[in-house]
Amino acid sequence: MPTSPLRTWLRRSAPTSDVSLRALGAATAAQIAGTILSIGAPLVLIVSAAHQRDSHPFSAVAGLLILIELVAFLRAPLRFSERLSGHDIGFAAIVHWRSWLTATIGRWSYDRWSRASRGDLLERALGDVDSLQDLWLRAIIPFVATVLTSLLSLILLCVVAARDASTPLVALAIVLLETAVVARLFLAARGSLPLARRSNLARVARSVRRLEVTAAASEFSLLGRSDVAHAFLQAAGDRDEALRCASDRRTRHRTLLLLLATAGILGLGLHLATHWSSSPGASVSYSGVVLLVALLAVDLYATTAQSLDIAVRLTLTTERLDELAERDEDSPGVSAWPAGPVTLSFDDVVVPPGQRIALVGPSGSGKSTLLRQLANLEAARDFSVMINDHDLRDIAESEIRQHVGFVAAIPQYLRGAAVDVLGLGRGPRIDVTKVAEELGIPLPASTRWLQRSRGEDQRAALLRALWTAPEILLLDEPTSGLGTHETPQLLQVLEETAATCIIATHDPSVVSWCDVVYDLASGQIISR
Amino acid sequence: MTTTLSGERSAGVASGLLGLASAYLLGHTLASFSLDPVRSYSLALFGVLLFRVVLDRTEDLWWLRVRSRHRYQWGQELDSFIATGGSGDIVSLEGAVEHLVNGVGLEAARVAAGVSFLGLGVLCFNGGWLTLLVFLGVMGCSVPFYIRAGRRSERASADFDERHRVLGQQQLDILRATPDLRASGGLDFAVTTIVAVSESEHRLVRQTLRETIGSSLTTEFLGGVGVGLAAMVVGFGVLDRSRSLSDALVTLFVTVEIVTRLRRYATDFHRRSDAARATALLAVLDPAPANAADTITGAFRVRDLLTQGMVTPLSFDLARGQSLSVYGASGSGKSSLVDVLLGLRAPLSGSVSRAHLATGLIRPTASFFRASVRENLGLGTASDVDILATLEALGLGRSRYAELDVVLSDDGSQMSSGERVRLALARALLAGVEVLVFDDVAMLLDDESRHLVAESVTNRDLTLIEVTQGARIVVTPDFLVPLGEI
Repeated sequence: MPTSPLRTWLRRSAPTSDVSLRALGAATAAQIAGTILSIGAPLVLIVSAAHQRDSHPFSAVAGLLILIELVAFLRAPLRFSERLSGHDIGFAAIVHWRSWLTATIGRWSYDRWSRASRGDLLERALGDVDSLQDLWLRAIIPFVATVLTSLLSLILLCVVAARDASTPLVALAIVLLETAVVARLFLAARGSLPLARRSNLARVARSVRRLEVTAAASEFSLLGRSDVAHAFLQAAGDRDEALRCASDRRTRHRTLLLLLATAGILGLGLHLATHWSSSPGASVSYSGVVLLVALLAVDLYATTAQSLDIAVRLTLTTERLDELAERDEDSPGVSAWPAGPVTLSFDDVVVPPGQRIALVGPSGSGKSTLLRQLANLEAARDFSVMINDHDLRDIAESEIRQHVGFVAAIPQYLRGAAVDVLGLGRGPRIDVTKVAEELGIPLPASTRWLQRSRGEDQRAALLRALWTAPEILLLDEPTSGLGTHETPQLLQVLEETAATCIIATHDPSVVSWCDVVYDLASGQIISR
Repeated sequence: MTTTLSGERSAGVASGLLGLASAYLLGHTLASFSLDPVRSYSLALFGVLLFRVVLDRTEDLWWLRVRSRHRYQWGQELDSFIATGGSGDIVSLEGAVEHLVNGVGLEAARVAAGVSFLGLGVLCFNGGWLTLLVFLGVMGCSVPFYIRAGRRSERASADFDERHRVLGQQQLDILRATPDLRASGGLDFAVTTIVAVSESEHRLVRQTLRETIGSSLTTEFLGGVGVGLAAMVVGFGVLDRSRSLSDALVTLFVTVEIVTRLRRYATDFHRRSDAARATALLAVLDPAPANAADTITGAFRVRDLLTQGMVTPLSFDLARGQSLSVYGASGSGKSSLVDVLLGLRAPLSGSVSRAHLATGLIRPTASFFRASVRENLGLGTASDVDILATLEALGLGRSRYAELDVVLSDDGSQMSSGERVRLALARALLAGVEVLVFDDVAMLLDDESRHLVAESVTNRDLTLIEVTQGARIVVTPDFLVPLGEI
């Protein structure tokens, strides 16, 4: 059943071999111990009944009974080890894939990110990434453990019945029957994929429609037409329900298939047991082993079906994750940042080193977009941004971030120690304490980052941008939350950096501080 | 719910009894077969084994059906709750339905575990007092462990959920701040943070898990030992010929049956609290007791009404066909007043009686469905001609909405606020309302369309209420009431 996305993800999410081997080993051993307990115990009882009269095997049978007791003791620790290694695998997967998700979304353009963050796409992506741990934990390992146990039982059959010439043939027949059933299950799971996809879409559509109707329901109720809202919900609900019924029907069919297969293997097993027991020189252990093989086959079918259910669910997950991972940019830049003072130019505008330029214009005229394009967070469509004579897109991401500082209109922060939240693991190339004091946000090293006022947030964002002493600073409304005596403080700090500043602003005091004003509405540059 | 519970109990009794019976039969048939492997015994054994598998599968399918039915019913209830204007966190209500549905069958498992204890009698009769004593001794030892394991796993799963939620929130914070992090060159740091946080969480969770799995495995362990010891006791009995093989096998299978039933309930035990929480959450879906019908002759009767933001109490009587205009500055409580008048929100004090007439609420945030103009405005009853005439009267006759197959976007992102207001009004007029309430929409319309709107609402016999900051649709209302500090 694994279609290509699942197979790719299976490879990608393979846990380190020692952990997976440990989990697999423990799972198989626990499975074998469980089988010995549930089948070995009645078998030993039967053997004891057969040897009631001879005194010699008495000790052997008693030994077997004690062995079973030991197995009963052993099974629990084995399961314990299996589950604990399973959780290790799960957590390794979570850590790995969450990091992957962060890096993947980090490559998105601002545009794509903002579309995704409006809905609940980010939440769903996180849920999808977390469910990847089930791939090995709940699908692969149980399946492989059961297959191994079944194979072992077949080997046992060949060993015990070695004297009978037909044993290899019988074993072969059983293997073929089991393979056929497992293959049928695989095919059925693959066939159920389109239905699962549609069913998933219908479920999401129903939730979305419920949210939609929640917003409008009170208006309809006042109109006296709740029936319309109800009918609208009903349409989505019926579709969802119909698809659910269809998948329930599939489950029922599969159960029927499993029952038939079970009846087949049990019948075959019992037939062989009868046949062997009545043949000369046969022992009760033949029939016991045959029974063991048959019961393990039943187990194999059930486990395969469960693993496949999970695989189908995860195929949908990996398909969604593949969509997330689609690149929306061409190859990332690799060049280094040009040495020495830089001139920034875009779309007829040339900004010599150290110049301060104010972007003005009514809201919606594209100031924030232009700033993001200059920071290479969003692709510029109509022009290219040049640093000296290098295209910005050709410069490596890490170089750009070191040399271009960016302050968003509404800065976002993580949680944790203030130094980490602002420093983000970068070595400071400015005197942080001094600049922080000049900005009026003293920062003792041990303080935790707490919710601050809008003005403090904005000054902290400037400090975060100045951290690596960038040559170019892009600021989006940096003074909109500031009071009258805080704005000059901020401008003073900017003055000291001698960086090229491009500031989107409505604030007259900032506009008058700048050397040049660029009006986006008219496309005019006004020198002062 | 009570009928479901009793149904589940009977299912549990049936499943427990059938399980015991099949274990008993399995012991006998296997013994007969192994002593004398002839075809008739082999057929009997085949029958019993198949019966056990069929029993298991049938139970699975049965529960699948019951769960589907439950999910369907709760889905319907949730839908009607939403359709009748119920509000709440729909996503968590949907989650609660899932929890509740997953909790179906727990009661049956509990009852079946109880019923399986009848097997103790079989144990005593077929296995002898020593087997019973050994088994009871082991089970007696394990009861405190079972209880402790249940409590621990319940607590641990709550703990785990909480940690998981916090960690997920932290992760979401990072995803939500991605552009800022990228712009500041902090993405690598974010990844390092995730790894560090996840790993410290992992260590804590591993500790909790170790305890939980440990204690739940103690019970599994004791179950295994119980079966093993019982097998040993009857096995030695068989060896010294004091016990027949069929007695021994029956004892063994019944023991296994009891242990399996107990373990099955113990592993699902923790879902009980999820289901209980879900039931509490879904209590909001129960229809509220209907208010005694207001018997008033007019349209509205308002006495000493105070709402959020209002300074002086408001009293008025509005007869059918009369109009009222309330004006006040922003923040004087106009929108809350509208909500309270229409029963969407409770008043701070005073009372509102309202004749239950079809009412059109026209506000800037009017919502539409993601469906065609025809469905959104006609609501399945008005004819195309009527819809087009109404649109024409409101000045939308030559707009793109006159194309009745155009699909409206649900968030109205492509609609101007003036268009939105007029579409909402068209919907109300086509639905044949008797009362129209305008919540501060006059200023969203230009002079010409305001004139058209005023014309189409005043030449019908409608009760009109308008709250406004200045501009009015109802130019000459019967009553004019100021709000705010006057």
